[in-house]
Amino acid sequence: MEYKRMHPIYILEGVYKLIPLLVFPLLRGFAAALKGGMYLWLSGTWMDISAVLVIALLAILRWRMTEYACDGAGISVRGGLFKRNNKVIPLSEICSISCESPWFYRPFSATRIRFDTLGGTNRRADISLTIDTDTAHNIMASVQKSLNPDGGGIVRRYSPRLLYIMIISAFLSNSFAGVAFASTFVTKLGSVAGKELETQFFGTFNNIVRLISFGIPPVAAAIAYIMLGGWIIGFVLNLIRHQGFTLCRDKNTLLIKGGKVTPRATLLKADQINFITIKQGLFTKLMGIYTVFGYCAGLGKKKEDITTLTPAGNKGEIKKNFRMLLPEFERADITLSPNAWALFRFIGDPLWPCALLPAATAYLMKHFKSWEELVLFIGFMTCIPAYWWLAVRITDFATSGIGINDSGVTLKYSKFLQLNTVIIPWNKIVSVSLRQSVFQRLDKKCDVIVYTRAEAPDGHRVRNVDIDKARMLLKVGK
Amino acid sequence: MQENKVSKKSITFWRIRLYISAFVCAVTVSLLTEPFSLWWYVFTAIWCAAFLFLYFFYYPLKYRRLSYSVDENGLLRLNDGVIYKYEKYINIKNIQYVNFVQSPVQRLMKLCGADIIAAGGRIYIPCLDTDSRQEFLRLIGRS
Repeated sequence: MEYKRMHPIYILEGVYKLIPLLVFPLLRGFAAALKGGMYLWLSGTWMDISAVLVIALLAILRWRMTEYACDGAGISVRGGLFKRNNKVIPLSEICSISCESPWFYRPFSATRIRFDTLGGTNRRADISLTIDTDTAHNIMASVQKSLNPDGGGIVRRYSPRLLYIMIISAFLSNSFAGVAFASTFVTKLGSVAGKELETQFFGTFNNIVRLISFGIPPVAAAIAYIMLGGWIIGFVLNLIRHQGFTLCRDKNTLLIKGGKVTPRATLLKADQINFITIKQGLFTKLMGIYTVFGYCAGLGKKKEDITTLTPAGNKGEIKKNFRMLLPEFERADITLSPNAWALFRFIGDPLWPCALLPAATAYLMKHFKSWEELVLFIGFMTCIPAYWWLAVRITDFATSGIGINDSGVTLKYSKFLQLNTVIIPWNKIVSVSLRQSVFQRLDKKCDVIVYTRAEAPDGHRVRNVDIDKARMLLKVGK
Repeated sequence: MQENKVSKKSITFWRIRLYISAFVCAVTVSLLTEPFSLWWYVFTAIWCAAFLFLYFFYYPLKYRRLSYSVDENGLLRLNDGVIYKYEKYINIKNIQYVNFVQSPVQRLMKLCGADIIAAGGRIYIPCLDTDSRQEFLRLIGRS
């Protein structure tokens, strides 16, 4: 194996990791300030400069000592500043390879490439390198070629319409993520361009909210506009991330590509996909739109990763995509469903907030008359997700269940506000748990929890089905 | 398919753990409230009721329900639970490794818990005899 060094930009990544060493100059500054000596601080600046130089030197040493090699057999990384290590992962164990070229790396032709196996932790990739972009693409292409001998057969390609990209972006949008992004941006802008700019921004925001509160208390309007603004920012970020989405399937691999500002590509081994989830919200269920996600070691480790296999589509399109791109995953008809009496089992959880929130709102309005309008608005807003959850659970009751076929198990259940259809191949099921409460024992029902192969345990729970039929379908037990 | 029970000493172990917890509760309640005040009586009644429930009802029933077996299809099955009854199944082919854990009290009583880890799932069997560790590993084909 021929070992090479990583891209020089890795030195800057090293500096970032060693920033905690700056605590020494900081402590020295505090001590000098307490003792009341500008002169004292100045006379010791050589120590601060030395600390910075040590950080830079360590980062350069780390870059010099870290090497990687990649051939048809696998990937090897060796290095380490104080503790030398050598990690070798054979190609047969690699489940996924991800490439990401952040926009600030592109002028330097640098790319981050990650290799993942089923072992290790689910928080970090098993191997993560920063290398030249062309080399990263060559590695990915050569691995794809070695996993698909004899040319790999016909390559099937899927590129969704812009409308579907917008739907998945809206589906994945998260107000809090958008708000966090915006607040970080504004604060950083303030620290760079001056506090005055930050103050002006917030002052302008306050004035605008007062103008367009439309009779709603300004504080409540501000919260609503912040949430809406956060959602819009999240939507735009997701749209940029999924722009140019393409999914290519050849014999043994799937290649997911997307993003124009930060191009990302993930190569998956088709037989390492542990399960497929078809997700719907209540709104997309009414519209008949489905979104398909795949789960494989390494896919979705970073929140910016593209984990969708089909951003959106109607029933016919999803069926066609499954046949073309994921023939191993065949959806089975649901043959075991909860009985009619199980309705209370489904709506029990959301009924509590649906009853308590309006009652709490009425109580607070009665006892805090000066805050009546604000309390009413906030109470109304918090009731919306509670009633939405209730509606999702009622839909879940009508549609959930278990089905099997030769290729695997199909589970339909809900997780908070999402309705999921999960297809799990038989060989990916790791364990099954049948849970019975006191009441379920009386009428021989249970909750079925299926665990699949993954780096961290993650169960799929179907509520209140017949226990004997569940045992028979899942081929467990008596 | 033979059902295997955990060690008979498990009830004793759980009860010893309960005595320790009861002692901690008693000390905490006495420190945080005025002895023989209303709140003292309330909290004392709560932890005493919990103690009696666990001592006389929960742990004996838990021991009765707790069992494990391996069937002809290579499925390890664990029956567990009192309020919620559990049947957990794991294919022995999917087991990556077994971790035997012992607390200080378990070490004195020659007991251990078996944490069975698979890629994406786990099963915990409490209070096995330390002498029967090898037999357990043989049962799941790890010896």
